[in-house]
Amino acid sequence: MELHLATAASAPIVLLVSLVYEGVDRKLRARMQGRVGPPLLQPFYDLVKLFSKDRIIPFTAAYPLFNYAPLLSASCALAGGALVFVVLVTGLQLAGDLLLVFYLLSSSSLLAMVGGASSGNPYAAISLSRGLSVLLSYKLPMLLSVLTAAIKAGGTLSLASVIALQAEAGGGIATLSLGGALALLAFMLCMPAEGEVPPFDVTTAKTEVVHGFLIEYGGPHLALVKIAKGVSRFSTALLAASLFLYTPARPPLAAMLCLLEAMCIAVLTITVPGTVLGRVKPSQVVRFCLVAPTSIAILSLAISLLEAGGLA
Amino acid sequence: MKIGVMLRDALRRLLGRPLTIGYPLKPERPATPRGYRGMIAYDWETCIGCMLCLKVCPSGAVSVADRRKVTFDVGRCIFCGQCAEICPVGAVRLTSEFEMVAVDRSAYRVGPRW
Amino acid sequence: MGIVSGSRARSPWLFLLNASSCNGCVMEFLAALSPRYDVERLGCVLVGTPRQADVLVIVGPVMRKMLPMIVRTYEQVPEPKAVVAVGSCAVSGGPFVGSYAFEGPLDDVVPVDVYVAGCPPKPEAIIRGIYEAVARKFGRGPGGGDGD
Ligand code: SF4
Ligand code: SF4
Ligand code: SF4
Repeated sequence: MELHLATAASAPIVLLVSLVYEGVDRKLRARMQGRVGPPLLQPFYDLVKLFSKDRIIPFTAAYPLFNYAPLLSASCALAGGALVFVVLVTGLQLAGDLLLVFYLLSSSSLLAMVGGASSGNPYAAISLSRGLSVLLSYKLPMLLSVLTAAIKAGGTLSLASVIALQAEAGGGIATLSLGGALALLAFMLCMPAEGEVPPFDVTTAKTEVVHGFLIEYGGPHLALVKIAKGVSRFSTALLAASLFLYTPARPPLAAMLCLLEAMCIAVLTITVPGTVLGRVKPSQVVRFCLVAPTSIAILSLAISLLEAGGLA
Repeated sequence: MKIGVMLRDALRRLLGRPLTIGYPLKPERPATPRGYRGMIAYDWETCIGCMLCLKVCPSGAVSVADRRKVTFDVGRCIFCGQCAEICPVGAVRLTSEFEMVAVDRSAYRVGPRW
Repeated sequence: MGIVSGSRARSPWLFLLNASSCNGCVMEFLAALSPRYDVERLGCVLVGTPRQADVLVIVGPVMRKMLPMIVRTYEQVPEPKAVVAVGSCAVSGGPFVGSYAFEGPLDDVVPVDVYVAGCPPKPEAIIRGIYEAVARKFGRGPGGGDGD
């Protein structure tokens, strides 16, 4: 019961931080392109404006799905992010929370896509088919690298024990061993796909599929999908920071440091590639994700298994 | 590699000053290039009413006004400058004023003011 | 100044509707998004679908083929919305008045809030037009004091 309350209470914090990240992202991106860019509070203005706008539901849409999928998607993403945050603050041992977070974040992306595709717009359908293949191809190496961290922590699937292990060892999983470093690398290679930025933004590319599954969403629906996307990409960065990087502090303070680390990871893997790289084809995204990060992740998994076996 | 070049450029831009001009938030107005053809200035007292501008105007932006004067509709003009070129007394000029924003189309009429 | 109207004025998303323009105005509009003019400073984002737009920027003369599309696009922009007619063609028809396919100036078809004359107008003029439209429709100009 306390866990539910704590998760509900930290959801606004996660939302706030991910909006701040989005502001930083847009500002940095603009500055890297030589522009002044929007004010830091721009994502907040955007959200308030979108919530205050009219709702338009196309008559081709499957109404319940189209209407409620954004809400479900946003709640899934918020729950996933808030769960990571709660564990970071309290150090609570929850068996299998790694998989739960992973599941929540994946369903968030999936729900947004399915909701958009239920509008009946052909572009949204193209985007759904692209999105599904991309989702499958980058979630696999991501999951493998999460498993590597879990194996490092002695085979538990609880985030708190991974954090406890790092605190004990006095170093992050990524800095302690080759396997951990490779796992972080694989995870970070998948981040542009998670954040839907170039080079992997084939699902929502404006100039290719006209915003993809977002094409029929506007107003409050769009605001919810934006929340879902922003929160899930920041939560993924937060997950990476808490799994692989060492935070030299006790739990409550560690959460703050971890948020900062997540911010840095997100800037490195979402903002920078999104600015300097161009978009590739959907098939190239799938091929890249299934070759580079996946082989690195499998390698790291094998190395960790060997190391774990050697230790025993 | 290309990525290296892009990264270097992005970093350089990030550390340097933005290229953006302050307009319209700052009062400074960007200079127009030389020879820019903008808002029409019509000196109706000099105009002799020969109607040459009306004849050459390719978009029909010139219309006849009272007492053998003409009226220019800037909202219809394509700023080709032919009227200014043909006017025998130099009564039409295309100024460098570019901010032709209006909420009412009647604001675009440039004609004689009696 | 309410928080809602303030946010509306600070995040006017643009949708560009090309009603048979010669592309001169389109180019100048895209220049307004470039680093030198950077409308994102005012919170503007170019969106690809009218459902997400707040400001409808229409360029080009209204031709018979495009007439139903213009009306439909206008109707698909959720309220509250503003319309900016950019270029002499959109303002009055420009050189196309009298063409067999010409269907009258834009304001006969949809309500226009602000006109920007020019063929094509300079990007600065387009930005000024968007600024005026937002100020008229949403109560204040975009990108107030903290737009640095
Ligand atoms: S500048 Fe060209 S289009 Fe404009 S009034 Fe003169 S002749 Fe006509
Ligand atoms: S060409 Fe010059 S003088 Fe003749 S009507 Fe036009 S403005 Fe007047
Ligand atoms: S106003 Fe001029 S540039 Fe713009 S669409 Fe018309 S002819 Fe082209």
